[in-house]
Amino acid sequence: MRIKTLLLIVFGALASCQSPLPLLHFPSGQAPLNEIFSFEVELVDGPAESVSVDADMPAHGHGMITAPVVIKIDETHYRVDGMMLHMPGYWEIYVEVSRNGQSERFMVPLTLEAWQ
Amino acid sequence: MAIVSLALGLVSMMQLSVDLTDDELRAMLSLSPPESPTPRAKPTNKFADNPKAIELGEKLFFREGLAGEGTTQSCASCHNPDLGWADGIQFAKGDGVGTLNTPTVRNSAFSNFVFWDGRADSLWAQAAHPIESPIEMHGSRLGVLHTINDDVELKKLWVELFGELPKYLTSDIGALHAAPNEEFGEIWQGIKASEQLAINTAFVKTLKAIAAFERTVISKHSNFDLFVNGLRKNDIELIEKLSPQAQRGMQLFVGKANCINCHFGPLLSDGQFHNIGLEPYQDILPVVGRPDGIEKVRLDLFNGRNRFSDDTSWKANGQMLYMISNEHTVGALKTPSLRDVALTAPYMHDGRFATLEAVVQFYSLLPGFPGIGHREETLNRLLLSDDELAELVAFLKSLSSL
Repeated sequence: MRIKTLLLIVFGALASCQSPLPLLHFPSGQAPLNEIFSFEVELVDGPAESVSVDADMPAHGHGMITAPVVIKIDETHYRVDGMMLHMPGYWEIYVEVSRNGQSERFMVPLTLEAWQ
Repeated sequence: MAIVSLALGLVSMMQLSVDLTDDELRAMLSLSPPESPTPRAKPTNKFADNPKAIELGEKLFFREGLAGEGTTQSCASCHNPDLGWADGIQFAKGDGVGTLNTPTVRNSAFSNFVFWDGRADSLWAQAAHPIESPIEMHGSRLGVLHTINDDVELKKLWVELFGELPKYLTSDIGALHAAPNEEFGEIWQGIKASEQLAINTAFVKTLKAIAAFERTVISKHSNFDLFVNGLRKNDIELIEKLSPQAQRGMQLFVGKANCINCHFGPLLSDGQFHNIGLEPYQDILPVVGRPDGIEKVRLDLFNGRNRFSDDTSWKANGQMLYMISNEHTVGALKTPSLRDVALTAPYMHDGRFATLEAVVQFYSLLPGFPGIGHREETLNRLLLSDDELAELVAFLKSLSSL
């Protein structure tokens, strides 16, 4: 599952943006199902003015039931608290990075299984 | 199936009445893990797993007239062990009649939020509500403390565990009932702040003992669990505990019917809140659901972040910090556990369905339009055959504790 998740992250980010993708570091290597968790965002192409994170289940027509909070750790690292992907299925995690008054949105696809 | 079953050492898969895909097999196993789940630690209640608190809590739970002078009910009046720790009737009935079906106490220890809309964030916070509800036990926090003070056995256990009861109970000017609500608010306001604090503190300790007992009310192994154990141990006798009909129902549950989307994990519940799109019922106003629950839990004097909690940190109360309500949570109500579901008829938050057959029929047809909000979009009409409906029900009935 860890390899699958990482592959999805790379594919999704490359598919949606021109800039180098931010790296997402999940504490146990993968996003858990139906539990509050934190993860880190690493900006590989330098500092940004702000980073925000959201997630959605397109097929369900809804997003998360929590509002995550992004905390700056240093110039290129951010911690995201309060994430919860509460249902199994296909999720899209959105990382929005703002630089020089412009924002760029990265989409990271992720599939959670009921049995993970 | 072969690759996964061999990888898991399930050499007895050939004994099954159904041919499961790899995903269906993994899903089925996740519903009955080798180790039975135990409730997570509850740091907001330092007595949660204290044996003396459990003993006291059990006596409090079954004590008739617990809520004080003039009251007659116990917690068990509506949470009857012989009725699946619920009441077997459509609407909760105490001193009055409500418009909601009584949820079971069983497995409630696994919940992050309690009540259909999650308006309490712990079992101890939940227990305060029925005690002071005019349509339930119709008593007061002061009334509960009088009951304990006047009962030799309860008082002994209480004092051994928690220390002295509030002095107000034995003062000449003491009232029999007081609470910060419409009915007893005037009396409550007449009590000195320091005495109010002592009453609230003692009341919360009492609630925590009740919660400690409720944490022990947990489902036992079912025929479905024995069946899964049989697969793991290659024990044909155990495998036969799940009838071919129920096996087909299990396959529907994890596969075509996709019940597992919300009813996953060993409790067969995500513990979350969903709008399943029930039509309006009779002349009852639709329940707002989760948005209302979030507002109430944030304002609750007894939530995990307030002074009566034994751990007010955000670490212990993470879901309180980040939870949100929006248009998608309107009408969303809690997903019940399906463990022992056959024992807790009638079903749904308003008890509108008398049988499990009616429940699965609803999910198969999804009739009408939601009374409020919009239906969870992953719910699609399944149009199950009569045989399939019966198979699903057979599986649900196999989840009863033995």
